[in-house]
Amino acid sequence: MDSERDARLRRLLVATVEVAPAPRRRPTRRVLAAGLAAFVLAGGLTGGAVAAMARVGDGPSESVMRSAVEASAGPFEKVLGPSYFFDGSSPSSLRIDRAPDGADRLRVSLDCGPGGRATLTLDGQMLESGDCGGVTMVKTSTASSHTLSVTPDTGAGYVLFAVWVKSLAAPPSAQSKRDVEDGHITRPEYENAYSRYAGCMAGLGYPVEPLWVGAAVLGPNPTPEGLSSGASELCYNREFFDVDRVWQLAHER
Amino acid sequence: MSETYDEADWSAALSGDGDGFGRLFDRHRDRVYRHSIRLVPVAADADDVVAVVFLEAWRRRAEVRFVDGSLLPWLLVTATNAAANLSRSSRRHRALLDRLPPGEHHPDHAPSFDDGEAQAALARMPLPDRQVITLCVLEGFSEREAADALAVAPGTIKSRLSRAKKRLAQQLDRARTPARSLREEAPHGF
Repeated sequence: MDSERDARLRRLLVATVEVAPAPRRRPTRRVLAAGLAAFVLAGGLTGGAVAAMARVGDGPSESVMRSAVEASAGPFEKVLGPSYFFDGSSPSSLRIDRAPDGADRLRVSLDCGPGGRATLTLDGQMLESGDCGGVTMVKTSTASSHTLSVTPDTGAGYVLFAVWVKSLAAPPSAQSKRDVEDGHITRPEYENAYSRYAGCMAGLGYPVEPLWVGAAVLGPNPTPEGLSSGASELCYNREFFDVDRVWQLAHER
Repeated sequence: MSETYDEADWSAALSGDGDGFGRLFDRHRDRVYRHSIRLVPVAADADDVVAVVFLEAWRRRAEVRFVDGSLLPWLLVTATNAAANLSRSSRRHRALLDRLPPGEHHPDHAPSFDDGEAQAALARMPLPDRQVITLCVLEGFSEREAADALAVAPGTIKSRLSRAKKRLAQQLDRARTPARSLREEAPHGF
């Protein structure tokens, strides 16, 4: 990897993967419960230069991220409005327009390449700091615009991508809701929830492997076909998302 | 043993870990480039083929195949297909390709496949011939591995390889005998 072209291509490939919806949505630190309305509009940032960076919606890079999102969104997420994109190495800010009608989340992905670190803020509120990579989902608000900022720690290159989306995820099943009512998931409840997920997948023609391998949790491991078809997203959200979230948080190391 | 890691990195990428895909790029980029440069007229086109191959790998991730745990055969086949009609295969990704800086080409380090006649002969061969020559002759995969990568029966590879070798030899022979009629060079249909 010795050319700028290769390095740039690698960053874009990584970003393309990370902008795609993850098949297993573990909310933990990345899905923020608070809406944008909870964020304080920016004292410090409004004083600085808010550059109007390239907008994918009318720029040459539209097809890059659009194709990545559309290829992976399936029937469970719809991209709305323009996208926002920046590829560089210096601190920068993107102005994000008001959420389009119907949008309920802002999908933000930041990739700094191997070992890269950065701080990502929205309207002055920190979203991520430290090792960067992955997707952060933020619930929408009615604010007229937002400022998305990145400060890289090392001056290394990074790719920032944001787009408004409408979640079309299937609601959790009644059993999943009941399982998490007490805020605690037992191992039998966890295994049963996985069995419902596996049954859902098998019913759609995409059987999955068992949950446990020895004493270790394998977790949902759908085939690529099961992922790309959207079946895993459907079944996971319906039968396993809530249960898995509570279980993972309780057993997080 | 790249195959030891390919499936794990691919699985990580499918789970949203972009670095998993990045590691696959790190591991196979050079092999894909060395293969591609045999099939295109100028080095810059090989750069585009490399980009298209990895973008297509993600876009068509439901179709990706591993051969004994390795993604490389699938990537090479995809590169062969992309190089066969680069303008068409790159159209989908043109916006990205235009954003990338030019590659750095060092002729002294360029791989060679008899750099002249053989390369030209391979480029003139029908796509199925190029695929099988690439996998079985240039890259050293077995007939079974090539069959897995191309999703055809091993017997098909065997017969296709035999035919492709003969055609390649004929192409080279004709290239060295310019007085021979050009009409003989038309490839037989598949």
